[in-house]
Amino acid sequence: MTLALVPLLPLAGAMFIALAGGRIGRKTTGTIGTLAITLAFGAALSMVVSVAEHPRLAARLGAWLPVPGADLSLVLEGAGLGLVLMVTGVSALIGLYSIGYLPAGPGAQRYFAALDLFVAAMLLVILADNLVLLFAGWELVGLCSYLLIGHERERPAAAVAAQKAFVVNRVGDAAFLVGIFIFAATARTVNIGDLRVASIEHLRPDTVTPFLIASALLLVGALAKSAQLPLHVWLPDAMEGPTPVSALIHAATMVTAGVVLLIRLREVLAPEVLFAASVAGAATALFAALVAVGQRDLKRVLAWSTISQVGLMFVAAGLGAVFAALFHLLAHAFFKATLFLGAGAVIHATDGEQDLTKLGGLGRRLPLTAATVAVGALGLAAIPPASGFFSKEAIAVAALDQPLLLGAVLVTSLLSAFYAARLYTLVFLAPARAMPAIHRTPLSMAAPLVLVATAALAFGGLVGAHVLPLGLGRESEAPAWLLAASIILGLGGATGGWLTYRRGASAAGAVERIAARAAGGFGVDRLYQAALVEPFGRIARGVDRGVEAANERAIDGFAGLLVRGGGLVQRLQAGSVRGYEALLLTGAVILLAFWSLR
Amino acid sequence: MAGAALMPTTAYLLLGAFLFALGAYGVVVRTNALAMLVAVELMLNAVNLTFVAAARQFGELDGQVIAFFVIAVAAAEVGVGLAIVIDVARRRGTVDVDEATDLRG
Repeated sequence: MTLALVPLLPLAGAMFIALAGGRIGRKTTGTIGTLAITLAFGAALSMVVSVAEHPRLAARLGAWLPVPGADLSLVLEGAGLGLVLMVTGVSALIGLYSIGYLPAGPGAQRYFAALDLFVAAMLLVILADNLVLLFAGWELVGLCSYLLIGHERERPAAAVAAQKAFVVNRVGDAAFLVGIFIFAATARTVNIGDLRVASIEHLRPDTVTPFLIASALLLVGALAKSAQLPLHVWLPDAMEGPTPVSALIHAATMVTAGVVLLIRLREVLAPEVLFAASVAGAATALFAALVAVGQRDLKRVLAWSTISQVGLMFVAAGLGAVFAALFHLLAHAFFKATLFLGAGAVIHATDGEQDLTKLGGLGRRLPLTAATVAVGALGLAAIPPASGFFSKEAIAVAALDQPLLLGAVLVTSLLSAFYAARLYTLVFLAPARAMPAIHRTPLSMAAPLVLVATAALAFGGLVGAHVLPLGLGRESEAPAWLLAASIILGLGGATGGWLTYRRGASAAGAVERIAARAAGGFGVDRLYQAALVEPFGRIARGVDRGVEAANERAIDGFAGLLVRGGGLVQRLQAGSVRGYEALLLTGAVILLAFWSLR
Repeated sequence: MAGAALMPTTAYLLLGAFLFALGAYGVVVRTNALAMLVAVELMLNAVNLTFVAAARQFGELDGQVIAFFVIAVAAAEVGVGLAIVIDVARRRGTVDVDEATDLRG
């Protein structure tokens, strides 16, 4: 039952903090929250040996819903343990980092309760053995992201960003839910293992079957949760949350949920749908990489880079290269967490400066942060020996048969290297600017940063050199020309970025002007705003006004009726005892007359 | 009782109806609360008279029993009524019911 402990420990932590957090201090709250996740990490670690012996572990907690297969039960198979270790490990480090990052105040209880619940929910997505339980985790992930993005709820921008994330995710969640209904109605089960068997019978090539439709709907859910085209708009705005939250959402818990779903359901989903996931991923990877080049906000560069990198994971997962997808997911989790925690350290040190054009020359003043961010940037740029190189290589190999997808992957690599170098150069290497006092990075922030950077540096090489198995059969090795091309693209992009920006953004001239064009995300946001948000807003306001007017008329009319009726009755209530008496007598006489005459 | 020339029951009924009408008239036209109470008392006793007359006519005791009840209730009614009148008099300095119109709607 160690398996059950894994999601239950963070859940217990969340509940404890939610119930008792008001009475204990910020540091204690953070320690308990981090400890709960660390214990879950330990529980997962203790299963390494048993997983090596039994490739499939299951734990049944009890019955749940009266739907075949919808029990409270968990299963750990294939890629699961690596994911669990990554999620709990990275989240524990982020929790520790948050203790130092969060400002003093009453928000710590909300923050750490949501953080623990977030981790528990993500673990449920990884471990649930049926779609309904998985969907419960899926929804909890959405809820927690809403709570954490909107953590600084008194800022309107944060509140709006949280709502946007929630609403965009809702589009995908609705599709996901309908997909589950179709699966349950067609196959009479929601158990993932049983669905794998059922899909052999229910999927036919070149025919539209209920399974095909359900697969497509599940893909929509995955696209929304993983911020892929065309449902990517929520993620850049999600930067309004505290920086550790961004690290959590981008690295460990949220955007990878869609990839996890594709990996876990690869034998259930229709092959056409999986290929569509690849195409969507490739388009997103390229698109987001272009947009990332033009961003001026430190965290927004990272946000768009996440969208782009998750796109690469979709390419691999859709092509059936599960190992490559998982490898890049884990490698990305480490280097993106490093980048975000490093960015958090920069923002913490400079009192909240996030504008790349205003930062600069921090390399000398924050040497530790500079070194760790360098590791993350190497990963993003896919330059060896950073882990990103090996994992991106695996994806390129998977796409070898698809020239268009391969092209998209390679161009994305070039662009990633360019904007990673741009980010690093502008923050750490470009000429220093007048900065207000630089704050020292506290140990509780520095320690996780170093740890996660070490993981980012070592992980790729260890997997690449076959030291760490990921519990999945790996795909074929890269041909030499591809290796060479990747290294050249990575180094070339990075050098280009460095050369362009080493004198600062203002000296970059034409490149920066062109890049700035891309910064708006090619108007997708504006399009949604004009095509969906504003018309709906107008309809809603119109309906509101109409309902209000109708309400008013109905209520006023009814009230008027009562007032008029009351006026009539009022005359009888004259307050004169003698008058009542006379009425009483008259009534009695009439009644008597009526009875005696009948 | 036997042998003596009895008043016919109709006479009692007519007297009771007359007294009742007199009381009702008094309740409606008088504005003095005490006078109204006296008028109510008159109505009650008119009813008593009718009951007792009917009891004699039919040779049963029911009417007499009810008359006793009515007397008891009348005593209670006067007790409560006088208490109210005294309170009204204390508050307003008058027992004119046309002045007491606080509950007018």
